[in-house]
Amino acid sequence: MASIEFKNVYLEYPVLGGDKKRLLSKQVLQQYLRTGGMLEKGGSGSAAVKALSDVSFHLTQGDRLGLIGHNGAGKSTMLRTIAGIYPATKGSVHLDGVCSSLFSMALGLDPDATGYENIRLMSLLRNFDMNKIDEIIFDVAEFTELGSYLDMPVRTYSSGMAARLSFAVVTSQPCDILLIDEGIGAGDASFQEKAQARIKAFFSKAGVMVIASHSDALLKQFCNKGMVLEQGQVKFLGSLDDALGFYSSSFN
Amino acid sequence: MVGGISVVYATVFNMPVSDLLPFIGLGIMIWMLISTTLADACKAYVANRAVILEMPLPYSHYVLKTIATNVMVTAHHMVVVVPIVLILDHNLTWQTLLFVPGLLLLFANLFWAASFLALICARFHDITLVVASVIQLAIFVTPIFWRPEMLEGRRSFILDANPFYHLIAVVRQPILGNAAPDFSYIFLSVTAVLGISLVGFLHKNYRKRIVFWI
Repeated sequence: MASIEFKNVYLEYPVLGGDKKRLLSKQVLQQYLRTGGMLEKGGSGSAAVKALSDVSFHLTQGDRLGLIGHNGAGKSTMLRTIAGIYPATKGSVHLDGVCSSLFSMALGLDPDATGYENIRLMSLLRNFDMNKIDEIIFDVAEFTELGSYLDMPVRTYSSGMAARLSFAVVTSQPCDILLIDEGIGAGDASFQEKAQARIKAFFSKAGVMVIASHSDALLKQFCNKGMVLEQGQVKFLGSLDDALGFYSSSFN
Repeated sequence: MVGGISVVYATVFNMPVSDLLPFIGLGIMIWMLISTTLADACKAYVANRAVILEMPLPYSHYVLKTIATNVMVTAHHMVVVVPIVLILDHNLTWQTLLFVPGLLLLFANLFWAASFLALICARFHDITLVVASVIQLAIFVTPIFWRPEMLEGRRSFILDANPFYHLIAVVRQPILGNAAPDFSYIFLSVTAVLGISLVGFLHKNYRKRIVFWI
């Protein structure tokens, strides 16, 4: 059973550089910031951003959570904390199942390697079963329709083509937990359709999914739950329609 | 390049080219491995920011990747150096195999030094420039173009205190037929143990913050 459990999670990170004196002045600290996390005085006298504060939730098999919030409200931070990239400052994060993430479309690709080489590289990095690599390559080649472009270096690709490639590789193997950050917004209309069909098929295999997005339409299509974030705090957690309603009524 | 340098220095020091060629060839090859690994190590975390923010891989992955890349580059240099050694070096015996423990010491030390630099340069990005300057100057105080014997016992601290000399000596000397000084082995064993402990300690305490530094 795939699940994600957060118990009273806090995440703070130090601000290196920047005008320390000004950042720690009373005016700035008491300012109400609509974007970004709260600024505060961190350890050893430096400024710190409170990116998540007191976040608790529990997601189980079948939950597809949409993260809703302003720029800098903590959506991406939340995804990275789930993925274990950002370590929680306080509280506990517990995951059951294999976690796969798709945060930035073209990243993780080596521009000088060919498409085929990149499929291998990404599969290795993501710890896929290399005995199945032929299957993965076949699947990705078919899905991306890149054809002979797969024999060319990735730097010759357009950003949409690169997005196709990384999206196809990440979703080529089933996983228990899938994290996506604005990812599926890339690509042209026909790719969008294919991507959505593939995501739906992927759902049936993935236990839990979390998507961060500003697009209501996209969230409605994929999610059944919604979480509204502001300044790193959970303002609302419930069904997606309620969450979207809460967001538009309280912030617009 | 190795040929050109060897001819010039053989003339300067009035020594036969055939003696100096394997010495300089091996020296430059090992020096390039050390210096480019350390220079690249400074960027190991910073340059892989995109991947680090994408998936939680152990940090040693990026350090080992840096070392592996430079080993591949060294393999290209070997195409030139290995034939030189095979043809001109008349001291190839079973004792030559002593270069294997030398390589182990070299890589053990490269590993901790690269991990250390990657961490420090992630926190203080400017140190990358300091390291580049140090590496550029170190080539002059290290016996690569000149032989350690030329010091003839004068100011032996020039060699003893230079870690780069020891790193090169434990690999180069066995191949050239004279074992490296015992002191080099002791020096490198001690730095390997101390260095790996230091890096282990630093990573235990600061590993969680690296992601916020880069």
